[in-house]
Amino acid sequence: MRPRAIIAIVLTGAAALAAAPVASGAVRTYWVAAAPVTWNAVPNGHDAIMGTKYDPSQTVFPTVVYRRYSAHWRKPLRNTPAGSSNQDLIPGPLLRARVGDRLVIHFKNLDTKFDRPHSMHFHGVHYKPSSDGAYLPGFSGGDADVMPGHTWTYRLRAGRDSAGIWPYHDHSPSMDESIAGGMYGVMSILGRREKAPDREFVVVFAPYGQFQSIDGRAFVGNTPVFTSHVGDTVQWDVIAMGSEHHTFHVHGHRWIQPDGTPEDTQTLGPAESLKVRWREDDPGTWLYHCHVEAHMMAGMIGIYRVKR
Amino acid sequence: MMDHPAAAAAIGASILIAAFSPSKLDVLTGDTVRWSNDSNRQHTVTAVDGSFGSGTLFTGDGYSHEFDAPGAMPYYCSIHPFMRGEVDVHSLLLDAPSAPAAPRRPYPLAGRAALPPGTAVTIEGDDGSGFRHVTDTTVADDGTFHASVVPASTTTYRAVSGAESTPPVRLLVLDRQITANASRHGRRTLVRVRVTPASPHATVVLQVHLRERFGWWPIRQARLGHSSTATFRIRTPARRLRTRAVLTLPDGATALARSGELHVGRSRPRR
Repeated sequence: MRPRAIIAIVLTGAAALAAAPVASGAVRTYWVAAAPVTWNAVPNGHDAIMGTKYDPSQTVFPTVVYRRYSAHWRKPLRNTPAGSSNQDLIPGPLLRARVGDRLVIHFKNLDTKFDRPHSMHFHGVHYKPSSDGAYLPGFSGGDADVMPGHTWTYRLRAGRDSAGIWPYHDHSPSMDESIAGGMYGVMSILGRREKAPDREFVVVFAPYGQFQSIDGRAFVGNTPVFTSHVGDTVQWDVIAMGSEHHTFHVHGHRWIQPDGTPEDTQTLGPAESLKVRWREDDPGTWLYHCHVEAHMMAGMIGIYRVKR
Repeated sequence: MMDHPAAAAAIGASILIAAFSPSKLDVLTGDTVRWSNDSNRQHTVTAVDGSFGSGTLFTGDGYSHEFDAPGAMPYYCSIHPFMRGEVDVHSLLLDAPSAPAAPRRPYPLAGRAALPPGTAVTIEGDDGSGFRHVTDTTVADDGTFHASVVPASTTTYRAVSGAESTPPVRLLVLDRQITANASRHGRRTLVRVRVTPASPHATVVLQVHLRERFGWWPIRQARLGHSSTATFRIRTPARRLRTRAVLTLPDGATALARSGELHVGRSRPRR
């Protein structure tokens, strides 16, 4: 009994450390597809703060999203890690790695609905041009306009300068309509010895239809309802997509920038990212939102609940 | 490519042993029609006015033509001249509704236009007493247009812009009822849903009322089976929740009928 129990403890410890420093770095494999879905930006049908109702004809869009799959695209998986308070489908799969890791992203275009080419283009990591995923006629190859039914494997490396939060998005000839439809996601790369947070929240500021959205959803209750407990280390992965600037603001909280200054509102331009961490000690229900007021009124606002 | 309407589409048609299928097609200016010879005979697709022609198509061959000018374009098979077809090219088209509507509930109509963004489009409806104005909309940047209509009974709609009008489409309006009942099996709760009159394959959504979602929130979506029923299996909530089932369009959002409210979950622990 006793030796077995000890082995169990050692194994549990090993699992907890699996994401901790590894000299050679791990290979992290993801299977992702561009998948057609029907997306509702306002499932509860209203802006609860202003009391404005929205009809499904204004809020429901046929679109294409990045969707995580099991190996060889056998079956769809949730885009979010277990226990996450993020919703599925938008943004795309949270791609996690650690400095020194290699990422192998197998991508398949399943967009038979709109019949458009798609690709994946990653910020912040190291790769050869054949994994750039950006369309340039006469120069780019099969990575940049993966046609429906076709696949491509992107090979990336998280270098010492890759630690942090980075966006990825479609950069194929269809990138305009694809990004507008939600084809973007976040890469979260920890430093070699950095401790993973207890809670990780992904916030993507981007326009969606007539709305200004967080993760493709507009207005409180529709946008992610993030939850944590007092004592948790919480991390916010924030990116902006589209053509406008956004300011990330959380009520009742402050965080310290690398230069030592406290902040409670920070600006992001298109494709810029922000990683914010704090140790939670403020129970209650709080707002998080873009402080560009026109954006907030158009839906870029959500709630964050901290339990004791 | 630049003068191509944003909403242009590719449309497939079939050549059978002695007929074109469909023999009449409504397309948008800029649309491309692709015929494939699905028979074991040779055929052609030849315009009556001679403006296009496929030449001989063997079994499995295909022929595509882009229609750039509005109007009726009759065509035939030059090998079997009795085989006739027609492509009607329009500057705006209304999509045929994909599912029946419910009386006096909003229903989305959509269409495509080869007209500049911002062009005014009027939706007209005929419920038996002639076409009348229903609502107005405009062409979006992507060449589509959208409108919401609230029919009381089965109605035929058309979209009008200037002198142009679309072929009519018929929206079937059915008064349907949805009922739901829940049974608890320990950690699992089953919610059984039935729609009458029978509507196999229709979409139903299970909603719960959540404070943090500021209202009714969809948690599951299903298609009705052949018997017009569906069963949702959910984890029994730790506290009592208001639940209801909604019959919707395939979008999972446009409500056609709602069930009464049920309470699922464990009762509050006694003090």
